[in-house]
Amino acid sequence: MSDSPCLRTRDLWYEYDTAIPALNGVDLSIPDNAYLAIVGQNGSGKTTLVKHFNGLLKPTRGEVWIYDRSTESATVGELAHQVGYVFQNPDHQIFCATTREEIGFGPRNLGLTPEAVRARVDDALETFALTPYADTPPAVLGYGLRRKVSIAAVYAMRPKIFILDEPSIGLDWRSAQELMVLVDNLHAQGHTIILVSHDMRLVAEYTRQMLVMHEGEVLTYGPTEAVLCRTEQLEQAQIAPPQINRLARRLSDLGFDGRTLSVEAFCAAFGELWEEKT
Amino acid sequence: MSVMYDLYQPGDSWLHRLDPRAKMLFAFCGCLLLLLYRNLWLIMGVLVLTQLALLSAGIEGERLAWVWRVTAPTMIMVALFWVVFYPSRGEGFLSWRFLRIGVDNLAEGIAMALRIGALAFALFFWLFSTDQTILVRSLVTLGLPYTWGLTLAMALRYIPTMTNTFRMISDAQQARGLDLSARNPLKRARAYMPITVAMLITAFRTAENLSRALQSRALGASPRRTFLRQLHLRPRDVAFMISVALVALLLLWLRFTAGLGAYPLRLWG
Repeated sequence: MSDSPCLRTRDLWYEYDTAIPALNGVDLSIPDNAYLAIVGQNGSGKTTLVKHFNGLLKPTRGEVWIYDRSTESATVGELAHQVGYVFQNPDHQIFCATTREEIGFGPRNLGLTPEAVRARVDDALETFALTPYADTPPAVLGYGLRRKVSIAAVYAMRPKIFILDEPSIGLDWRSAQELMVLVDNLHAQGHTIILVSHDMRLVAEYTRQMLVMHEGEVLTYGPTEAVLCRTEQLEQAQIAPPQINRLARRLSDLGFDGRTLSVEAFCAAFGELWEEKT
Repeated sequence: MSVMYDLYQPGDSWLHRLDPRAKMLFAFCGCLLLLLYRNLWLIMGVLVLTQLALLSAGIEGERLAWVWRVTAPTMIMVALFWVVFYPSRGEGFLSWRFLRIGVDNLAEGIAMALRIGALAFALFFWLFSTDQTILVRSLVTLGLPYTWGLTLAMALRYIPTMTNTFRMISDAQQARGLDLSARNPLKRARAYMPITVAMLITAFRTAENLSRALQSRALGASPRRTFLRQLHLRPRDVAFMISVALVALLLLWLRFTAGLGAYPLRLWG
């Protein structure tokens, strides 16, 4: 992970038409190739914050920079070159007659040549295992596949930064795992990943950094395993760490590491302890 | 804009307490008269009165602003088309090829545009102050089959939801590089195609899910329904209805005998 930030905010305020600001002076610096989870209660300002990253919202006060460009004067379309936003509901973006056309829509908007669009579409279809559905209307696919199409459509635009709003919602365990493997690969390829999620198991297992929002402010931000140990702040934001992490902390007297984030890590630690005892 | 999910705004004002059938009669008479009147001043008067009535009933200004926002594109289009396709009957103060703009067609264009807003406010007089259950109940008491009444009430209830969905779809498509800033109307209409198609798919999916949800909650299982809330016309409801009917009849009579409101700028014939 590079230290130079890909995304910065300075004293970011945002107000809808209500008296209570949705964001209260957020100062943030997200490094390039970060794998960040943004968590918080409903209404804490998560979606409002990330909508500033691709210009869908403009600050009421303060500034947002994507690399060295302020979002103030940039259109959403211009920022789409660098920031890909996958919305929570795939049906909000699906409209084409075939999956192939759906995935090609974004690259065409970027002004790529037909050959380049075709190459990107084929790559996205293959990467997301959607080739068998290339000529199927995406609207008739199952929810998991529609979710994949919506991510593939953004992937084909090759943005440097991916924002995924609740990627696992409505997916069964296997589909969610498959999806997260694809997201992991994107991160391994050097993309910055920002997940907005309530799924703490997924956050703990996959992300490297975690940012907790509460009442429009950043309550805490840091490495995932460190943030999950900040119990006071998590309680304030009414966030419970995943069960496996809580179990490991309860068993810390027996030698378990309180920073255990996944079942696999817990099992490995258990195996080691078992061998030590026997 | 803050998010509005239902047209109905709960309250206990004079308007909320009025029987829904009385409000329906007002909306019906208001719409009928508005369709017969083309006078700018009368239509403006109706607009002012309906808004004052809504505000006095505690309906939030934000809701009134929402109606203006939703109707504004249609109003602007109607005013423009009217001025273009109905040239001034006089000399006009601006002439260019087939376009001839004068005070008469300009006033009529504005009146026709404002009539859209006035019609909307006449309807929202009823819808902002009547909750969905009572709305359906009132339609059923007037002889409409329950399922029809429910369908109509749900269609109305989904207007704000669909407006919010439209905004979300627009955000999602813009995030994929869709440019909606084209000034050319044809290009702009074309740019909105992805949003419109996605909107239709979402609407069909919502309708399908909703119909399944209604069926699974036994809608239509029994030919006879019982109702938790019964509607009773009280003396003040009857007085309001008689007043509305009398004023409407008087205005209709004046419209056809004295030409009241038949001309864009002149009040009488």
